[in-house]
Amino acid sequence: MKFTNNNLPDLGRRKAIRLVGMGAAVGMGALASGSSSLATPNMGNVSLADQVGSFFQDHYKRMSPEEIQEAIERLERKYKSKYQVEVKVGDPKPLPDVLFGYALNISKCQGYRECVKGCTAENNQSKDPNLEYIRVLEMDRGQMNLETADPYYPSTEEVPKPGKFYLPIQCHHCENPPCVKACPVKATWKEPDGIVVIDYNWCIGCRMCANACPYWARKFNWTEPNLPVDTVNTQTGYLSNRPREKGVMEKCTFCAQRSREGRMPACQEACPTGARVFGNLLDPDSEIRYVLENKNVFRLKEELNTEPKFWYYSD
Amino acid sequence: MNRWLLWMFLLCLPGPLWALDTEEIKSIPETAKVAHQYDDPLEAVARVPAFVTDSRIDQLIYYPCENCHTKGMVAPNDKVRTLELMHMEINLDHGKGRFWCTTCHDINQRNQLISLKKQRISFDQPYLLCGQCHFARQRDFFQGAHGKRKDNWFGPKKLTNCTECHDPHVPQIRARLPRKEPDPRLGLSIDNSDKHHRHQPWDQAKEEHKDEVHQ
Ligand code: SF4
Ligand code: SF4
Repeated sequence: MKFTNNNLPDLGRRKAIRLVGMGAAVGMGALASGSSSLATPNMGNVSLADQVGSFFQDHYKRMSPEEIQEAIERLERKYKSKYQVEVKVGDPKPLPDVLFGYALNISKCQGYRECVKGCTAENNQSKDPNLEYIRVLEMDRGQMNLETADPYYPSTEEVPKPGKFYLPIQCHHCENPPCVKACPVKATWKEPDGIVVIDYNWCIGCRMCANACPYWARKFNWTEPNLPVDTVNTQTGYLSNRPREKGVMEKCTFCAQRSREGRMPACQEACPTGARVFGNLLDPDSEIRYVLENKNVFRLKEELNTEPKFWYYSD
Repeated sequence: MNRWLLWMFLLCLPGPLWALDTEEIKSIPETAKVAHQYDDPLEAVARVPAFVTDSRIDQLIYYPCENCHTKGMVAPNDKVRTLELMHMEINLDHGKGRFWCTTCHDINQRNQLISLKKQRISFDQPYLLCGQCHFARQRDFFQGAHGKRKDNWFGPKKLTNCTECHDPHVPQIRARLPRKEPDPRLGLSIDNSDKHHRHQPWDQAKEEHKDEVHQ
């Protein structure tokens, strides 16, 4: 099955607004560079030129490579002033002939929540309030009742508990993603390698996507993300783990900054039980294909026809 | 009289079972393949995707074992006994009492492991040894459905060795404490006071609205 990315809407109105804005930007830019006595008024810690530049920044998919480069440099300057460390923002592109898929062995998962830890160490989520992409559900054995699933099982009791099994959920990178259909501004879309990404600069924070997602995968920054400097991961990607703002949506990106370079996602690396299998669905020799072809696999809420690229299996 | 009939009947019962025992079952057709154990344990890796593992020898505290065992300090002793001088920390809980050290450790060449068919196996390749019994797991390990691939999903494949996760003497994975639980949604809290019914954050909301009648 193949789903194409939805075409972008008619941009007539946006273009018009941008043109008007551009005039203003040129004026302000002249102001910023022209008179040295005024210097650049510091709005927050970001220069006026950068403020204006990011205000008029286009949608990721409509930016030329040069514009993307400028946007990245603006972001790097901003993070530098915010966190006092050099944060490198990369922009790895989807690899050809790659479609990412994930499988998780629920008979191996012990509920340690190590994947959650690995994920938050990698992906620059807010640490207070604690924003986590992976939710490990404690489930009663012999049933698949998500109503009684408990994500808050305490860290003071040993796991696995008798009579329970553990079902980690995160973004399933649906091949037919309802979140993408729900977004009114197309700030989220499915990339050719199957990763569903968000342009954090384009997101208006309406949270429609979170409503549409059947897997509770999307997490919203209700407050200014609190990311202590010593927890910043400085190797980031534009569409994945670069630090976010208040009022934008975020979620798992299969660690696009790692996986697009051939590395494993942080949760796979952190899992001490080897329950997580990640790989290329288009490669018939990959581990994930072996699992799909040889194990009893199932997908969560399959009846919704979202075609998740995240399977569970048991052995 | 009835009793005699019953006896007669019972004696006849096994008859049909013997009748089943025919030539058809006894003779194996020419084309059938007999399952065979590998003569060389390395045969198991010959037809699976190429992979490497990290060395285990570097991680072993007592290696090289020969330093004590074959260089004359300790005489080989195959007797099942309680160890009193060395290796007391090993609490062999594997194979339900059927194993002794020399089931897997070569008594003559102490730096090596040994298969049940007496082939030597390196400490770096415990998957060959474990696979003798755990053959289904071994296949899954080679193919990527058991154990774990390290570093990359693409390019040269490095697998986690069996003994990196399982203590071969006590292979079961133990229960332990999980990492910190997630924060509940803003404005809600988790109540862990009642062990039998853990109050979920949403119970609080239910409680607050319990008087509202929904029509
Ligand atoms: S799991 Fe949710 S957020 Fe992820 S692609 Fe599917 S609908 Fe979108
Ligand atoms: S919160 Fe952002 S990504 Fe989600 S629907 Fe709204 S604009 Fe789109």
